[in-house]
Amino acid sequence: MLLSVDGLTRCYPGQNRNVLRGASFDLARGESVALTGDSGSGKSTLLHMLAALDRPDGGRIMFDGNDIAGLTDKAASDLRRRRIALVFQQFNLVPALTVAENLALHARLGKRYDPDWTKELSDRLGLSDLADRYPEQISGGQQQRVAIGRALAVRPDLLLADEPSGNLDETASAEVLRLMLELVSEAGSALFLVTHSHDIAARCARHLHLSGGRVEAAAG
Amino acid sequence: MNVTLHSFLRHWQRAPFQLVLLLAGLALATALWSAVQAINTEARASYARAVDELGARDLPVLTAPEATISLDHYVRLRRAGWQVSPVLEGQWQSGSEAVTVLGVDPLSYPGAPEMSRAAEDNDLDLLALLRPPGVLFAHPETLPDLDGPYHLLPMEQLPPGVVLTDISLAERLLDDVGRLSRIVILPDQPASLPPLDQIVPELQQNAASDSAMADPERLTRSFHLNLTAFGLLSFCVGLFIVQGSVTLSVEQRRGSIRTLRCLGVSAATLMQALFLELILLALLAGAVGLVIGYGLAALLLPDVSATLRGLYGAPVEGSLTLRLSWVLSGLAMAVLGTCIASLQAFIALRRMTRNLSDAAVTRSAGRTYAMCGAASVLLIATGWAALNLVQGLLGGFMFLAGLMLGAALPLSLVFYGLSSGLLRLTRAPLLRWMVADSRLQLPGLSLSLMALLLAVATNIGVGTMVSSFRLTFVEWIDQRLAAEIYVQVETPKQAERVLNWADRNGARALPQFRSDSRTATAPLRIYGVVDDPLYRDNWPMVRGDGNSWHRVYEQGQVLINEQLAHREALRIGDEVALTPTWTARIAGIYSDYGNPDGQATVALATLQDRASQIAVTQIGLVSPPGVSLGALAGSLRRDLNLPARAVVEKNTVRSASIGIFDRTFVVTGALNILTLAVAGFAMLTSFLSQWNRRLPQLAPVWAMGVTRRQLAQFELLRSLSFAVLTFLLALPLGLFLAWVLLNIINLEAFGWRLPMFLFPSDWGRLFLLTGVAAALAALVPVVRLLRLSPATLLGVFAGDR
Repeated sequence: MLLSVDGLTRCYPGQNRNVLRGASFDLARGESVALTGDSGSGKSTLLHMLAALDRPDGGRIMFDGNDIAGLTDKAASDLRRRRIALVFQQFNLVPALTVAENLALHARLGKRYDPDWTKELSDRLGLSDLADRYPEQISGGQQQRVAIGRALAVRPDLLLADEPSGNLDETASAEVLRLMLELVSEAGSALFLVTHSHDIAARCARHLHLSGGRVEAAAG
Repeated sequence: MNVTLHSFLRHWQRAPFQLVLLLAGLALATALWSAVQAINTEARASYARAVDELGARDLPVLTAPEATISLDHYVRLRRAGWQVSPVLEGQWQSGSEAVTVLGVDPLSYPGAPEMSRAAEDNDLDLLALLRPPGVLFAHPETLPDLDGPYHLLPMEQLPPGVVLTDISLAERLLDDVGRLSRIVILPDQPASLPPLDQIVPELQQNAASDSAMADPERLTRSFHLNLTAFGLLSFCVGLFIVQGSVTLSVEQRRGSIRTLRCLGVSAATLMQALFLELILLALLAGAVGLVIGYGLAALLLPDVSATLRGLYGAPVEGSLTLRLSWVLSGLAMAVLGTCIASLQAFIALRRMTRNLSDAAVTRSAGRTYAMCGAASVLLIATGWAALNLVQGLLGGFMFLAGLMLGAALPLSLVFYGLSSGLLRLTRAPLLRWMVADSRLQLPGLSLSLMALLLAVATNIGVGTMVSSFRLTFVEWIDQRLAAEIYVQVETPKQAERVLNWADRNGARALPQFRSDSRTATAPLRIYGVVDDPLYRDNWPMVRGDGNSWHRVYEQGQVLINEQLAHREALRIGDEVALTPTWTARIAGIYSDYGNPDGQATVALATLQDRASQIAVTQIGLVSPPGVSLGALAGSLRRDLNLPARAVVEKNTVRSASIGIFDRTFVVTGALNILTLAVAGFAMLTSFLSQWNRRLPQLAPVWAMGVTRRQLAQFELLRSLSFAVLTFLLALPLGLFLAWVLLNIINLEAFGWRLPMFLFPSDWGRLFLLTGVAAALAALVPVVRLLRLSPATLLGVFAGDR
């Protein structure tokens, strides 16, 4: 098992309400899992904890046999540089870098840069002609493709995606999702995708639902 | 780290104008600071040469405060086995220039090796110093001023205006044979010598620099402290620009920083990258600043040099030397200043890396303003405590620093209160929007407005101080120059000839006799004056009454200058020790601007009765009725064959003194204007750095029908309103600063207080200048607004998805 989450709890500072109340689930290598839930249900919070960007108040997050819930900043950073990648709704590209530089950024940081693989990603994502442009010079759909390429260029064990098509129109959204699932599968990465769309969730191998601070298998 | 730093630095490629502003702010700050440091360093190096006297500085010397040192004293010491070296010093008129001649024994003087080396470098041996025609050593700058059949040799170690030569040649040049100014006690004395007070009981042992030549570094300390304070102020104002730019750059990169964190860059690596980036920028801007600072210093140094020579007699070369220590300290200041100015940016970055879920870290305006208020009170209280606890000038300047920063900090709070009041009073929707929008901009503008407040207040404060000083000085010099013609005499015989000539030609003579003494801590010059109505009627008295002169002439009492009264805490009626055996009661205290030392004035008869070594150096003449000054001075020169420089009319002395005074404050005036320019630049930086944040606020108003032209007008109006309000707040602060300068700093620095005058026309000029600076600062945003395309404004709504 690549990821094993057990009894996660989390309460926001200054609030009495527990947003997570013992969330538990597993994720196998190469598996794609979608998580849905209402707004404010704690989907993004859970995703941040899986990326070791945030810490739970209780519970364990076993990643490849190691508990990552209490890692130091340095160890957590090291994990993200090499093994876990993220794709956000807001694309989060570095505006000062070109498309090509953004694509290679994560792999370079993790010292896992492979020019051939990055080039292939660039071609497959239809970014080759945009290499020298800056993020503000390309469309939202194109920006999200750069973000996906950047994440996969590092060949992560786990790709975490937070509403990756939330800012895109229907056509662009479908295209981006298709490419992401295809490339994740080819890279051998596991995918944990947070979305509010049941249609998108249905395209993943497994669909989980977060409700009342707990994770359960989605109905239907 | 490399990839992270690269990502950080690439930000500037996308924001070149912001980079230029940051570099320019830091370069300007470094330039002004390093220019002042270059001037100070150059002056100190000159002073060090002046007092070093080729290695004799640290050696003790024997002097005679009340008697002449004769050759006999020297012979007695040598016969007793003491290793000593004689020195004769005096003023020599060489052509049109007066220089200080230092006559020494080339065989025993501590600087003999340098003299020998300089002689050998010019194919002469040491014996050439002793043989006719003799050798004169001088700084290369002074050599062209020297006349005569002597060998003239350059010696870099000497300060300008000083000539070193063999003592026998010095005797001839100074027409002063058989007398010594001091005797240097050499190191390495034989054992079991008889005590000095047994051999020469009438001589007194002193530290060299205190006894003979007054130490110029001590005299000019306050002048340099003033310059340093100005440099530091300019540096601080420049740092406001840096602070604004760096904090903005971190805010702009918030998204990138979050992304980098998500991609596995640790918080520590991000902090290190920001630190490295800032060091690189600081070194780059510091280097540019040093180049500008060097140019500025080279431009100002001749004026500073003339001032220091004229006001303090301190020799300073007019040319600048590039020193490694100056370069390194300038770069260090740039790096240190950048780090201090970037503290807020580091804190912001730390918060960003800790809390990635936050869209923005904001602190409530109320809490920020409360902190500013508390810090303001703390700073002013600390300054006040420093004034009372730290002695001298340092305490005064610490008080000023606390006062100025303490007054500037709550500026945003004042503006916030004003805008809130205005919002309550205003009903017009557009005006309400403008006021509310201005209030929204306050956090971003506050630092540049503080910089403007400090610059304007300093301008008013220093301007008022200088103008008050000038007014007082001109009035004082008109009173003090009682006679119409001044004759410089060098020997008693010459003085007698001038007095006889005056008698024959019906001119009233006011000879000024003097005797040099010292108080327990410092030199004291005692003047003896004849009883003349000109003194009784004109002499400018700070404290005293109509009977002061009567008590001087009839009861043997003394008048002392203000600086002596301040230094020794003396009041009218107190007794003052003029010499070890002469104590006199104080009848009055007079102002004596431009003189760093203590001075006393007594009746001539009293001086002749109580002091043993009296010299007459100057004789004032009042022309008989119907005789023009020019004619009288001309016939005096002709009849007694006196050089033109020895006979000077009152107006010449007056204009020369005022000229020196005005040159003294050329540097201050230049720094004043530059500080204001930097403050204007800080405002421009703030306006531009807020530009991107302004669009989302402007676009909805534009969409509601307010034209871009109107928006541009509002922008200009807002800038001018901020400038006007800042000026109004700076005016009382500046006047208080002037009061502190006139009554605390001047007293500590020079020993005199000055009356304060108000100069509303100067304020008017400064008001216009501030308005122009604010208008110029707003010009770029205004032009941008006018040229703003509808598409750009619509882009704001498109980005609202």
